[in-house]
Amino acid sequence: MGVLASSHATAQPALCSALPNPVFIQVGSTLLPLLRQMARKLRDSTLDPMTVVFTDGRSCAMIDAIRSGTPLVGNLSYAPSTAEDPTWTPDRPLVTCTTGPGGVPLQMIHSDVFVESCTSEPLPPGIGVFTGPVLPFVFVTSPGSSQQAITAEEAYFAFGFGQVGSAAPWVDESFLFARPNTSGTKITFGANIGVPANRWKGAQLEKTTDVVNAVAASVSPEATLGIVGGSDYDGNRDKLKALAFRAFGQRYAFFPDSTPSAFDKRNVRDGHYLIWAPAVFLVAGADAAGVPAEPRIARLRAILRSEVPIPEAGFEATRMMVEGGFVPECAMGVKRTGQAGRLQLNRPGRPCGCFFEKVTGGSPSCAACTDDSMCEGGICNLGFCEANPQ
Amino acid sequence: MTTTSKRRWIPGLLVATWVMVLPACDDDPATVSDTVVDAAAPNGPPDAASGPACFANPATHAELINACTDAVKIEKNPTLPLLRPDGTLPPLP
Repeated sequence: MGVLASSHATAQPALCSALPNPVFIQVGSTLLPLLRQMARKLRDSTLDPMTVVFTDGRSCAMIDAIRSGTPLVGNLSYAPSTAEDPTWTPDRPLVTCTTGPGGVPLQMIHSDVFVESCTSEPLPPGIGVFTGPVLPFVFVTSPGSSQQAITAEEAYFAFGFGQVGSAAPWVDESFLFARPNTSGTKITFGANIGVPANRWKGAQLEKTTDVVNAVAASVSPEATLGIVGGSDYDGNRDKLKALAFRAFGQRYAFFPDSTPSAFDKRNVRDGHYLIWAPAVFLVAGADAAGVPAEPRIARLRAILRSEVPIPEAGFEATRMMVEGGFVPECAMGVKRTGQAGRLQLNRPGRPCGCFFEKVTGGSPSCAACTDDSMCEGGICNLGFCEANPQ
Repeated sequence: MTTTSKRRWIPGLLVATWVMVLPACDDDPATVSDTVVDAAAPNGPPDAASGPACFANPATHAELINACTDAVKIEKNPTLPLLRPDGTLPPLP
């Protein structure tokens, strides 16, 4: 169980189960920044306040835990309400609570990878699955490198063979920076280049920040190659250089964005950039359709799927996702149903591509609107006219 | 994911087709060359010899990843000594 918080109080932490309307979840590191923001908003909600009590974990371990009904035990974290700490911001330490010796039920987990990447066993009854926003992943090198792109074949030889792979300039294994075998980031890259996580050469660094720092400080820029989440790259563009990626069967290499300096994730959204995966959520107490019976978990599900893009005034959940480096499903033109699975066209019920482009600094040609009647047969979503998917 | 790249590359036709195909798809300023093109390299883009330059109305996986776009695209054709003569990947060690 990861360490996320430092207690505000010096006294014994509160019992997690005694907090107002608690929900107990465990998430991968890629979702933590977004969850910190959402947890504060949900705690302050005037419609349905809840305390999101959480900790972090590795994808496959969390999937095992919710499959087996393993409770969360130990110290967990939550965001203070505005009434409790009006100066708190998401980059500050969370508050600690304790589960007590018996633990608390694990109600939802987030995984960077599909269940099938961790186990071939079917899910037990009552465990539901849904997907949320998409997160791209990026091969990065040192800003001092002259390299602009990497092909899937080059990555296969670099990370699958190491030095003997002769995939110049990525032949010195001490400058290949990856993650532990259970990392969702590594599993996602591995699925895209054909190298299972347990077969990788190079250094295995514990955290994404370790990879960022190792790549940024490399003394051999040309030989340096690392793997990070797209949001980690976007937040460290001054320290890292993204490499365009050419997938198996693809003619050209592409960046996640339409240009190296853009933030529009256009190539993720339209299928030209292949290294991405949707956030996968497993919930306990779900019906046959995977919908959680617990109303607050169901509300979280709707928010994470952008079915409620603005849950209430002052809580622009979908904007938070976009600004956090995610691509909401409603902005995706393609989808996949397995790790590095083949792409299919995606037709979201309420598209939000125009909103996405606006938030990421683009100049969408879509008309502004306040309701569907302004959209000439289209639909108005998040302030912009979008094509009607019907 | 298999470890075998599915490609049908015909070395004898490679030089000629590479020259023909690229202008059809690269007449925009968004294409940059990462390295000098080595047309004899065995690991160029799959099906470049037979497929269209790009797909205007993509529907399948292969069409989506090779759809026409004005996004920056990078042409790369590295020399990989361990690639098999037929362009497929050897198994991992």
